[in-house]
Amino acid sequence: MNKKIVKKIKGTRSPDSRLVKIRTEGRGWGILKTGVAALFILVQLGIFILLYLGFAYSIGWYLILSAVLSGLCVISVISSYKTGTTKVVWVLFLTVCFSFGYIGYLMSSEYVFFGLAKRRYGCIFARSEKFIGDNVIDEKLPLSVKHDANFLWNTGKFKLYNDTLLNYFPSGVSMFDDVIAEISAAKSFVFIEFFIISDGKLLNRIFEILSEKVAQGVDVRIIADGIGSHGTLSFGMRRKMKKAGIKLKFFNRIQARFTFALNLRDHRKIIVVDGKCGYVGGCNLADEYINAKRMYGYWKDVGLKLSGKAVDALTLQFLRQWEFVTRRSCEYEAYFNRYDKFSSDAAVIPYVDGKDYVSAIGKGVYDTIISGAREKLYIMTPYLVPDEQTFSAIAEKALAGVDVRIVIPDVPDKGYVYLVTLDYAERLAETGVKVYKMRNAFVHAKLMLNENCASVSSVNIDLRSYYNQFENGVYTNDVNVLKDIEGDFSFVFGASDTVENDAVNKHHLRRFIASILKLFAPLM
Amino acid sequence: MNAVFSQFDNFYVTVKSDRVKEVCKMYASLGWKLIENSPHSRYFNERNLTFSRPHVVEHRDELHLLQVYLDGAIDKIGKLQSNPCPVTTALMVSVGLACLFLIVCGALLSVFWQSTYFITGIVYSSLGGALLILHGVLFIKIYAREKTKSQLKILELSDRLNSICEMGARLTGGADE
Repeated sequence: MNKKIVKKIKGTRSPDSRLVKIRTEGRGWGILKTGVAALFILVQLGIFILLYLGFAYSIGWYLILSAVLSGLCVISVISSYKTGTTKVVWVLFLTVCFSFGYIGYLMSSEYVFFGLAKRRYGCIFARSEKFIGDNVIDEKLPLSVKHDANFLWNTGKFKLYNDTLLNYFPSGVSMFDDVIAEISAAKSFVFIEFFIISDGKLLNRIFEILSEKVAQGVDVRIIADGIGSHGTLSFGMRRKMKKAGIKLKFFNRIQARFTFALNLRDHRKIIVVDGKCGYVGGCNLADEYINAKRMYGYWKDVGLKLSGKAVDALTLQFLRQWEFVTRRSCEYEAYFNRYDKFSSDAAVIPYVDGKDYVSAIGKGVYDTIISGAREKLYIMTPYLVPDEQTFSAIAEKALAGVDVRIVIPDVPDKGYVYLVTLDYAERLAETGVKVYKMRNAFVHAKLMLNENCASVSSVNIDLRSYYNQFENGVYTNDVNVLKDIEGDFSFVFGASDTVENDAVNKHHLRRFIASILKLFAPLM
Repeated sequence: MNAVFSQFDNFYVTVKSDRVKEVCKMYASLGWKLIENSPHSRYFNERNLTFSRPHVVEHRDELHLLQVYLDGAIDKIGKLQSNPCPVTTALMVSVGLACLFLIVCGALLSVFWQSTYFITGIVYSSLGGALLILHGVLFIKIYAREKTKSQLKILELSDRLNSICEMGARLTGGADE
């Protein structure tokens, strides 16, 4: 037989040397869409630069004027409440690029790109404040917990709740199994807010149930981040949701227009079912979070379920964001006080963070937990790019003899951030912090635990989470949850390798690259 | 119990045809049952396997983690078997090409610039040839040494695979039979 025909019948030999290939589906259209938007932004920047150059060349005294303006901006930076790192980066940028640096600085001003939005948030908060109620702090609570509760109340009016049952989930799959069970039993409403909502097995499974629920008259609302879910949630699925009656809204959609507001992302993870139970944690609604899709090895994530009084706080947080994204005032009252009664003395404080608040609340919670640690401080984070305050607070705790342990991934999702993470991790290891890298895993959980309290949240230890993103979490001193979290930490320590405490002296090239990358830390 | 929980998880892999039995046994130790074994649409030396496992199994998180270790070890073994010493090979091929370049340069010099560079060209070509022979001898030795190393590494990884399977079997209650 002809050789060609034989080849056609038998097929060709696979050039791939791998013995086993896990088959996952790829999606190229999301990248294409982002690429087109990025191209438009680049074109705009190019036109802007050309116009600027023409202007600068035609007017000689412009250079003197721009030097003065940049000088004024430097003064503004130094007197601002920005972090030291951010100030240094801005001052460097304004002095080196003085002829146009001030334009960038003015464009990045919160008043320019977030002023109107902040005013709208202010109105929403004022309208809905009455649903928060009074904050009653039990005198019997440990002093450190009382301090933390006061901090959260004074910074964002986050109320301390008792009578709330908490369940800790050490993995995304266990959390979403519970979510599915609860949604299946939903009778009146389901609120979902995620950074990433992605097509796949998990979304299909949840969509099926939600469609049935909408048909039964359940009010289903979803908020997805405009960039986080941009390339992952297909138009087909969006259409299907709309057709089924699910209300889907995007926060700060991607636009082909250059604005610093692109950097503001809704990184929150909230699910509320009937006002009876709610979920927070690190998981997004995508297959990799339940290990159904392999991206960076094993995906370590966690979740926390709230049942009882504190669910009202999650409902309020969701509805405020819903009102913001829909630009329509919504009804609040009907969604509160629907919880089942539980009896518990444990303090539970759900909190959110973002540009809608004055203080960096997520960072504040971490700093209070760190400063409250006397015996132990366990941290799990995908990125370790702390500001100088958090860094020295952690280092000082280790130097003071507190058992400080940090778990970071062994497999990174973003190489450049990982280089900086390793650099900080090695520097902390030098001070006596035990740094663990979970083997063959991407640790996406954001956990902090000391002997009195813990936080399960969406807040990474990086400057983006601290200062730019909309985050949420739950602070608690529930003994059972603390025990569960500690058990989970013990399991992870066993599945990890430690970073040597003299590692910082070994990787000179990596340290050099990391020191350059740190200039961009405010964007990480 | 909710209807969702009665579902099964499926897991799809493409495997080299001669390793199907071995791979099935490994995944069986983690509780996966083979439900479909079909030929690859394009490559005759590969097969598409579909495994299934109940969505709710005991120690699911530990099993997920073990599976990541298992996939990693299998992948490394495959790479080492197909190319035992990729760095050495790349380095040696580069050096070999440099020697050949020297020979060609020498030949060109002695042919096209006979009057000026004839001797230089002969020297270059001879040097290139000598280096190429030396490089060949060295390459064989180094390659053999590296191959032994990678074989040891494969043995180590095979042991690791066995221990992962044993751990998996313990968690699933001896499902690797």
